[in-house]
Amino acid sequence: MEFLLFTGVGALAIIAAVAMLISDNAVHSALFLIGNFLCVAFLYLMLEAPFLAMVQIAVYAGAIMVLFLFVIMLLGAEKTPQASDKRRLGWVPGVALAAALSFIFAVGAAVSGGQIGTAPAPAEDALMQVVHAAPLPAEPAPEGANEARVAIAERRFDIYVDGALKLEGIEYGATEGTSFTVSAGEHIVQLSPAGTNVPLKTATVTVESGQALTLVLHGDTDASLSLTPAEPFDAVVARNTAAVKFFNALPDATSIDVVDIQSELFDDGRRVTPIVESVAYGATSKTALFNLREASNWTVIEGGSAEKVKAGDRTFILVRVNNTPVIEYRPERAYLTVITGLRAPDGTLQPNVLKAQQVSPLVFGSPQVIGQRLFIDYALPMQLVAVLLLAAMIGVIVLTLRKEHTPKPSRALRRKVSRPLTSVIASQTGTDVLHDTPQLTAPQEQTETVGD
Amino acid sequence: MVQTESFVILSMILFALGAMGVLVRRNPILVFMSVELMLNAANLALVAFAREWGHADGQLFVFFVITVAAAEVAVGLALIVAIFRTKRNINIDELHLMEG
Repeated sequence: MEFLLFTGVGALAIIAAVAMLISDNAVHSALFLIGNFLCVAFLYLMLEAPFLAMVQIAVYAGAIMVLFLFVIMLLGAEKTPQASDKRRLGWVPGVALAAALSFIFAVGAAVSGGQIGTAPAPAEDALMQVVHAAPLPAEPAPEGANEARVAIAERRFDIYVDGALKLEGIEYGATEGTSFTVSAGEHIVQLSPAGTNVPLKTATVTVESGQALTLVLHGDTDASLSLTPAEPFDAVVARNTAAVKFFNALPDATSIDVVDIQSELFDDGRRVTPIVESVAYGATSKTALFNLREASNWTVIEGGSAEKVKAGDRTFILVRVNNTPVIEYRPERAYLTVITGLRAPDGTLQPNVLKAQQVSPLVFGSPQVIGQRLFIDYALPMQLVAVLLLAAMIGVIVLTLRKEHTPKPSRALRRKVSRPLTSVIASQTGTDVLHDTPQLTAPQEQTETVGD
Repeated sequence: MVQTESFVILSMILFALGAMGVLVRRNPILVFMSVELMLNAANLALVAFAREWGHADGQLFVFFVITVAAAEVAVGLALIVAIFRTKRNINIDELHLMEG
């Protein structure tokens, strides 16, 4: 199906190019060329370059072709005069050149066997992110333990993906700077104590192209440490709204609810406005949408060891996370919020919240990728091209702003007068003209008295 | 997914057509259009290879080519207008000002 589409559009492009070549009228040629450009823009879309396709239509089919049509119509150059149609060699050199080019290309295609290059590098267009939510153990590493034991006791880990080191020495609470790009497909993620390549835990995860996958490292004891992939976001985030998912990594909570902190308790212990309910340990909640124009006070109940609320016959444990300034959601973004524990100095686990912003991977050919490349990696060439455009602009102005030929006033028409006219007249008539002419008398100074 | 080879072959054909147009047509505006066709064929090949290698640099080059093409068209058309003003004729076979 896709190949049929390609064949159709490609044939259209070739037909438009040939029609452009053979049409007598230059305006028709320009219109056929626009058709060709549109076909090429469609092919760009098929080649995963949507932004380029739009630029092709706007700049080529729009701006440049308007310039062409404008000049054609300005000069009235639709048709070349029929008299000058006699060309020395006619179509022969063109056809010969085209044949030669085709021959060269055909030889190239034959030599390479129709195969271009070797196996291409896979596009790295998926993101993986690790959130370290495994609290420090109660007791430190014993004296004289080896490096790996100390690293485990301090919960410092390295992350390997398919045997390649991706993250080094991440510690509890690490949520930022822990993302890396991977290719789409299945990967084996390995957790090792920092500084060693000893596999402690491995997890097999699958990421799709254009997806961001968050792995949560959780567990209280050394044996229960695990890497669990959180469910990816699928909701499109609306304006003024943040999408939030909660991950239960609180070691001694089998299930947690997240509710509005201002909501009232029913007699049977239910809350009026739950946000997400019954998130099992190691599971991800549904996406909750926070409208950020309204207050978004929320709290986690059941689990942890903070403030106990007696309601009915159930005991709730309130975790006031709303008051901590670290939890700040910004609109139009997606956040994975990991509810976990923080080891207090007395050895107990205090509930803690880690916020990890979901960074969407840069999709190949998207304006973001192009922009990043253009304005960061290729900033200098872009400046040079801008200078070139400026030079072209000035050149065009200089070329077209030539003054029209206005015949200069000839010197014969105007006689240079070296003497004043009055003296010439005086010498011809013999009378002194100057004395008869009324002289302008300087106006007498008027003294104005300003009345006081 | 359509193979990259197909795109490259299409780009070859378009390039050859453009080269033919440059040599055959004697209206300079049409010659310019043929040059644009050739640039477009090269762009198509660049984008095809960019996808083949999963690297955005090929698409970046297309940007530069488009920019340079825009500058070239502007200057070229200005030249044509200037020549037309002086000679009242833009047939490129009759333009041999620089012939010795």
